[in-house]
Amino acid sequence: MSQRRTAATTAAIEVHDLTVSYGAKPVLWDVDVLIPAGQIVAIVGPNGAGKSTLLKAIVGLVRPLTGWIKVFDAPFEQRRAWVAYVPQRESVDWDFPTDALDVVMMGLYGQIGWFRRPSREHRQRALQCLEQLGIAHLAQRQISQLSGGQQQRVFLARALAQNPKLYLLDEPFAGVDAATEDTIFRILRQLRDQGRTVVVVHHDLQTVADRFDYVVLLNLRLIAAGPVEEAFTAENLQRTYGGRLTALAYAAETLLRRDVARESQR
Amino acid sequence: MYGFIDFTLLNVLAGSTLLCAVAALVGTFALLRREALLGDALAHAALPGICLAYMIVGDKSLPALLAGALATALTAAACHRFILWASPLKEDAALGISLSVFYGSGIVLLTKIQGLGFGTQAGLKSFLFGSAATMLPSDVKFLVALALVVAVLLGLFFKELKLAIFDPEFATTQGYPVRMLDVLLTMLLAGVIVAGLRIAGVVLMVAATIVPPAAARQWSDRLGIVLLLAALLGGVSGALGAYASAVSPWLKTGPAIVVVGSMLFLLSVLCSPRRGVLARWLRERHTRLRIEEDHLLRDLYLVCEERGDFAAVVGFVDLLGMRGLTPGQLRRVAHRLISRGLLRSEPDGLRLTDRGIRAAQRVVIRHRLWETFLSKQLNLPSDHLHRDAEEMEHVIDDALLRDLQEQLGYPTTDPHGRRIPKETDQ
Repeated sequence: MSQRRTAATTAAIEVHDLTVSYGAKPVLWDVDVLIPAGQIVAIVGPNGAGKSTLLKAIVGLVRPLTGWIKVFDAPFEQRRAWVAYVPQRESVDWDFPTDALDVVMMGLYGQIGWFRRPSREHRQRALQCLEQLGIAHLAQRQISQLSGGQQQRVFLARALAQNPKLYLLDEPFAGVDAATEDTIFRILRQLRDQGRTVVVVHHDLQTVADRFDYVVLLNLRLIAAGPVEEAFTAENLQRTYGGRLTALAYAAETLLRRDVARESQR
Repeated sequence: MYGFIDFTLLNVLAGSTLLCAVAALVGTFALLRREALLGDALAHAALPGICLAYMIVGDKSLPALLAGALATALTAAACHRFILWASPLKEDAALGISLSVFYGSGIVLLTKIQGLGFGTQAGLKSFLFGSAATMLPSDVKFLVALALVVAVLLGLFFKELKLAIFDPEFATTQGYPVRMLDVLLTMLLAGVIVAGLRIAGVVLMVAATIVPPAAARQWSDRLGIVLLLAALLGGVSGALGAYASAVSPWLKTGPAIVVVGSMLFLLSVLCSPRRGVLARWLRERHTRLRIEEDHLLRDLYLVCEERGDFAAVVGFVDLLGMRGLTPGQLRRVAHRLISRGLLRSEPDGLRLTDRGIRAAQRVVIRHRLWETFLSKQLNLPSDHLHRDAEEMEHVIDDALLRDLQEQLGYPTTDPHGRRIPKETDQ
């Protein structure tokens, strides 16, 4: 009992007995997971494993069939202001008539409130967020004129503007250049060091070991969750990805690299 | 006498202008939601409502007919949403179903009414096809009120509507009532269309909600400006169309407005500065011409390099052989370079001027540096380099050039062993 209490108070997200289905097809099945606060967490698994659905369930975009989710020990509806959700880049129409600064400002609408226009301070704050991602010079650029990496930076800047405790990022590294990936990881580390929690739906198994603290392996069911050193094992990957050889080959390579790196450190 | 004509004309002018402007405002949001055709479905779905109201009330009482039209239009919108939610169908099919089912039942009702032999049913059709020329002062007052309501609501919820349309998922997680905002927009659209039907007819109302917003989108990348421009273009086409039909009686108001609007749209698609067809064509042409010029400069440079004399006169035949240009093509490119002062025409060929040599060097440096980069960093075999460099030599700007030089350690020869020139003017 006491163990459960401590777990609940240090968890950023607590998912209990979660089942989600689209129509008759289940996408998540009996998922139980605790995501600790103050860490960079990867959610990995093959395509169609329910990774994005898990994020969407956390922020109430899909309704679970059974189970419940708590964010910092309360239902999400009471924690909206603490959470920044960054959807997949393709989920919006980038030809929409607006510029980068305006999109970042959307992260401040909660602060600004209904019926009011953004003030000079809000613009300044939005500009700072773009600055943090190194694209302040693109503030006035129409968003379709940005590269994929720049669009992803704009989305992350919008999340920064919200100043939340918990960041939920859906595939932020899909179709993004290496420089952007480095910048984003640098910022995610800064956020973690400030005590924020970052949860990333991730595809690239090669970077999991080096860049994440905690990993959730998902394939319809929860396969494993834990600190990367414990949970990101060849056995768990085999169970997550089954016979998918390419993914396994990647993972084996990563594990090998990590072992070699450890050896050399000794 | 004149006073009377002017007064009627003024009525029609003011009414059409207001109606088209306000239709363009609500239409812009529909366009951005990629639901431009929702207005079409709403307009057609008004027919059964008009017929039902007439059958129930028994005469052509305006408020009753309007209420009926609005009721079935909104029901159709609800059906559309329900089909989207409940079935795997996409927007287009769902719209098609709602439109045809409602319009079809409207036609059935209309036939039924005609069969019953009411004396006054003739006016019902004009409800659907509009008669702007009969606009009354009361209609104009009503339109002023409608325009005010729409403008105030859109102004109040501007920021939230923008967010809900651009990124509905994010807006939902932030606690915004995305569905309510969606309902608000649909109600405004239905309201404006139904209000305009009797005045302007189905086709014009659909056109007025789609065409000016689409034209306005060509000119600006800011939502606020797109909205204002759409209202402006809508207003202008409303005014011009109404005026044109007033001075030439054979021209009906509705179609005249559509024609003016379409011309403004065509103009926008062709001439707008960034998205326009003309601007795009000019940009592409500019790039193509520059590539041709760069190639000729480099060809001349290569011949001169081989001869060890950059002031050499290179014969036309040599140049024609290098990339299979026709004499006409070569002459046109050469003329452009001569007029830019990079080439001089000699009796038996072409010669690079001093500035021409520098310009040719620029191209050659980039070409050979890129080949070096490909071969050194990407380990491509030497026979794979040229074609890629042929494209990159036009794209590399000064900053990238410096990066390349630095990364490659300021190489002096390319993978084929040819010298990489230094820019003499540096």
